[in-house]
Amino acid sequence: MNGLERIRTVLDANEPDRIPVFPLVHYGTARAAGYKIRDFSTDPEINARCLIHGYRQCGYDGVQPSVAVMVEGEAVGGLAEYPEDNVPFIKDVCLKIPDVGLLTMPDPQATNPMSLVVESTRLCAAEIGREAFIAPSIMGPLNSAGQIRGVETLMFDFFDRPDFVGELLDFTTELGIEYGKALLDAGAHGVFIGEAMCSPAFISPNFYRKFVLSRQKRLIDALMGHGAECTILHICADTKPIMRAYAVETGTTVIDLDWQVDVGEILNSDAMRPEKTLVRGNLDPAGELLRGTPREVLAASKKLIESVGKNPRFILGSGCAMNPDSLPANCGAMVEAAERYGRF
Amino acid sequence: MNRLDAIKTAVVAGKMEEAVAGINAAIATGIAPGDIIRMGLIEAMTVVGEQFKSNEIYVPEMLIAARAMKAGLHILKPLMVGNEAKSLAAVVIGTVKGDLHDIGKNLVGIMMEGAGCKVIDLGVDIAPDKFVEAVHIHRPDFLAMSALLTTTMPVMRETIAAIEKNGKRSAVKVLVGGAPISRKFADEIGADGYAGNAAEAVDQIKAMIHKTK
Repeated sequence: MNGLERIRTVLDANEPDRIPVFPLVHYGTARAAGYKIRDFSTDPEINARCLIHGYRQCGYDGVQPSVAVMVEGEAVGGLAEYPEDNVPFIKDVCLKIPDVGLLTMPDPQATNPMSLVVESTRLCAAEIGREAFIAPSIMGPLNSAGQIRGVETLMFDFFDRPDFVGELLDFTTELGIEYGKALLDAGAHGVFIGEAMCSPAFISPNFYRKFVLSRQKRLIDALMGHGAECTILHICADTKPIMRAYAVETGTTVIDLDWQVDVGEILNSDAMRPEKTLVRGNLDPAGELLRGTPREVLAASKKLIESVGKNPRFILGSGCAMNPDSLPANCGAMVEAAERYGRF
Repeated sequence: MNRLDAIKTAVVAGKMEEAVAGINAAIATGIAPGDIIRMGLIEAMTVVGEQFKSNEIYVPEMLIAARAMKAGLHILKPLMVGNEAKSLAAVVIGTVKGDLHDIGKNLVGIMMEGAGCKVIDLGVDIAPDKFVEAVHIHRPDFLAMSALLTTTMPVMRETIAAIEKNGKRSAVKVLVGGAPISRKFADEIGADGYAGNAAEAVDQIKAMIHKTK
């Protein structure tokens, strides 16, 4: 089986030849391919070249075209900074006045850096789209809102002007739908949705349910309706307090768990009934994947695979975004572990 | 409810205007500014820290409580005189070079201020030499560094090495924190303490002060 067949097999609820490996790695592929993160973030051809290089060098099953969490924020009008070899960020947000009417919906095909990711997706799909699963990243409604309004300001808005927050989240939901559709039209098989800010380490389960859940569902329904084979919804840190809403009520195909959560426990928990949602997870990207040796990554992966058991709803992943120093050796060790210990 | 309790309740609930009105009324009735800070604001932030640790409140609730406390401190600090103005400890705080995440750092700073510390906030994207310079200038008891990215974590190690190189390592206790940071990483880079969240950071500082007394 190749990576595309392997991931499609688990999405169809069948047993693959081995556990699929699909780490959350995008800018993390730059260094191993001989580029700086700024090159990766500003040139679609280099972006695609790095992703394809990482895929071929490490042997995992899919790629995730992306730049960083700031893409939607810059596309809507924020001022972004691109450090030479670090992750770009929004230096000055665009929506200083709490009025959603001031925002214009960008065209993802024509507005940088969305257009860069669309083009990178097109290039990846053309070169490896018949052998690897292509799932580019978009931000979920709350993450996008944070990049457009400023995270701290948005937190105050929750209390000071909740109606505005609702309007902004409606806008960012539509933004995600338009961007995700453009990526699917460019050849993506699925869409990864980043929603770090929904973490219970950050906002309460009540706020998640009140402000975000229905909008995530709307986004996921629209992407699936547009032909996505899956959505992969990532929320950072310990997501157990919102697991039912996150894993089942959003309607996502895959949840992407951070390293703090026990994948085996979640796969078999009541929160996951009916047992449809797949789980991608979850080594520690700042622990063994960054600071460990390949042997330690192999051991951690083995332990994880054994704790989950041979479950076709499991995809071995990196917990959260992988650091450039994790490639190629430690990332490759994840694949080796799946080959050695994850055969069905 | 007495005036100080009312201030405390308003701060815990993040009701800034009520807190400010309560503080102005307390000052007008002759309550010492130091007492308002200790029994109104510091006690409120202690409650906030406990509620955060037990998942009763989350970051947004903590931020609005912090906003109310800051508004109160803005009124009270200029009124502090003599011994009343003495702080628990001086803390230099910042997010490391290449990293612009500041909510966690801000919360740690405000919780430390809420615990009675003098906080010198350097901001975000702070290079090792800037931390060293701040240690020379402010002579803090603690240096607290934050990072939210795995790509910026290594700057913490560089900063500790720079402080060592400048002969100031024994003069300051170094605390680190942020989403990808762990106690193991803190130990590896030679930090004195690690905190998983803002409330823990205050506990760490208090414990270290207690230990050195």
